[in-house]
Amino acid sequence: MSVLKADHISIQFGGLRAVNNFSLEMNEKELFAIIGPNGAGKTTVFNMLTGLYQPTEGAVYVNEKLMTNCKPYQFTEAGLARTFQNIRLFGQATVLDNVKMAQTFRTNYSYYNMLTRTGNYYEEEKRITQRSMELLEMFDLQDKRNYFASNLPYGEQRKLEIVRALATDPKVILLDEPAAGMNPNEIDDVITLIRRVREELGKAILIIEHHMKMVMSIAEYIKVLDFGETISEGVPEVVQNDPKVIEAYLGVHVNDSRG
Amino acid sequence: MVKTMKWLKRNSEVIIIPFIYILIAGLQRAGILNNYIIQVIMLGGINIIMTESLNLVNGLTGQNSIGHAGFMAVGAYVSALFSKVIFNAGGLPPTSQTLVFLLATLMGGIAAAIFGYLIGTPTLRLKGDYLAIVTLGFGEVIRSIIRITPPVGAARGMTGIPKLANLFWVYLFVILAIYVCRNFMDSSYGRACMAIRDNEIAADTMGINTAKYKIIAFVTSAFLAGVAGSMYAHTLRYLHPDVFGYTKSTDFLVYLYAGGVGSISGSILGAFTLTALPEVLRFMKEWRLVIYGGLLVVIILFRPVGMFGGNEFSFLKLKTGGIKSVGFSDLFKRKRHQELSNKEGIQ
Repeated sequence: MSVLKADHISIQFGGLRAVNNFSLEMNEKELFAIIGPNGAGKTTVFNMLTGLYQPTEGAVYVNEKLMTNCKPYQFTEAGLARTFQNIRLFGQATVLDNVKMAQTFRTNYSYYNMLTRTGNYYEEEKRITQRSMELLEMFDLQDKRNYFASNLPYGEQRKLEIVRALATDPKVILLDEPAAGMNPNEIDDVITLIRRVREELGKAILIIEHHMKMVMSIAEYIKVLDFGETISEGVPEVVQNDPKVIEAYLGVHVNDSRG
Repeated sequence: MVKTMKWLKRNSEVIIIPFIYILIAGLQRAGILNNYIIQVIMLGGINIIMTESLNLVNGLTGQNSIGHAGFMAVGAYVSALFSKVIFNAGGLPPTSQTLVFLLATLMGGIAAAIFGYLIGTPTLRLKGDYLAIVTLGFGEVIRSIIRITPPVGAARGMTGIPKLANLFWVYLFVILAIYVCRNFMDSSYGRACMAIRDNEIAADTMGINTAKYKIIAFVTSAFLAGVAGSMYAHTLRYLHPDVFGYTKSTDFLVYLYAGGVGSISGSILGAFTLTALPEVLRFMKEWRLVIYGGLLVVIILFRPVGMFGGNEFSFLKLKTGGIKSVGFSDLFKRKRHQELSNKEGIQ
């Protein structure tokens, strides 16, 4: 079953065609990556896949549901979650609350029950807290549950963002540069974490990453973007040896014939 | 017995809340607190409801409402119309008076909530400071409309409103407002609002319908402001449109930020002390407002997070918001709590 499908999406900002004719289809538990030089349109693709931008052409499907004209929260409700390149945690809330906040739309009590604390208010609160604690324990953040999110070290903030995305109980999770600004040891941790998310929780994952070693070691399928065009796609070995990819990253070899 | 004591210790509010009321009412009965002081206390209570209401929008959701007196005016005039013109409650027996008063308060709250919905729906769908501009305008528009409406006294003001509110009712509604805000804050609704305050884009992508939750917070806030307006009308028995001007809205903002924005306890403390202070300082004659202003400057300079910072009274039992609960005695010991917790996180 396809969990995320982009059907020939393009976006135009005034005279600039930031992404042209991008297609993607992911099934459950698959791990795809999008790579490309700076400014290639990778994050723009993410923003279209998560509803922050509306594609000018083409359509996005989440869990086989057509998402045209939907708001980002509806994408999340349909089963998609994401993290951000520049971390966007809820800084003034605690680590635990950050995870609870992501479960807002999975909480079922009415406004009246909330104000009077009757009905299923206590059950639901307990259920959310338990679920949040399970997730935090899974990723070793349980000891820091009462820290303000903005006080966590950088690596843990990235981790918390992934945990928070998982808390929405998605089918597919989109990671925007999860290893940005990390040292080699931390990158190894991120690789382990991504593998766990996929294998233990069975989520499909789409990542954008600049760190080639990481992408080549975990991704099953890679799409390469340059100036909004998909210039190459395939399994890591194919992409690595594609002359177009080498050209985009390193430039063209010029035969200077003038002597 | 031991079990009961333990339960009482955990739920100290069941003693403290009635105790404070009995203390004030007892002192009034004994003649130590005269009617003037009781009226100041009641106005303090009304300002607490208003500040709590403002805290839901400005503190919790991170939107700026700077014309909140407009909602208070709607609540005050609607409830006064209800009790004075429709029921003429002045001549009714006490029980019916109470019923009319409660009904009028409900009507005032609902009317304010309807206005809140009408101006919140178009503006809160947008990101940014549109709400500030619209609420500022709303406050002035309401005031101007009342000024030219003869049935509510127009520019002369509305007189002869029956005195239905007393210390008991104001106190009860203050407690109810505090608990409404507490329950709101410590729920998925409050958390959604705090997520919007901290990062609206992230909130949106985490499945929070930002427009919906902003409107819910705003309408709840407007309802409470309407209730406070009804209390005000039935305490002072005289309404004048100019009372609900821009300066009134600013007063509530001052109470909120001086007490500690985002904190229920801070709103209580800020509203009550800053209502009482000008009255306490009355012996200083023309100097009292100088002192009042000076104190605000001191608070802003030395304690920008507000008197209460991010702390909450322990009786509120708040779990959400990274707040450490404090008792009255801890108030002065933990002055640097907020600064410290920002550095190392609270355990």
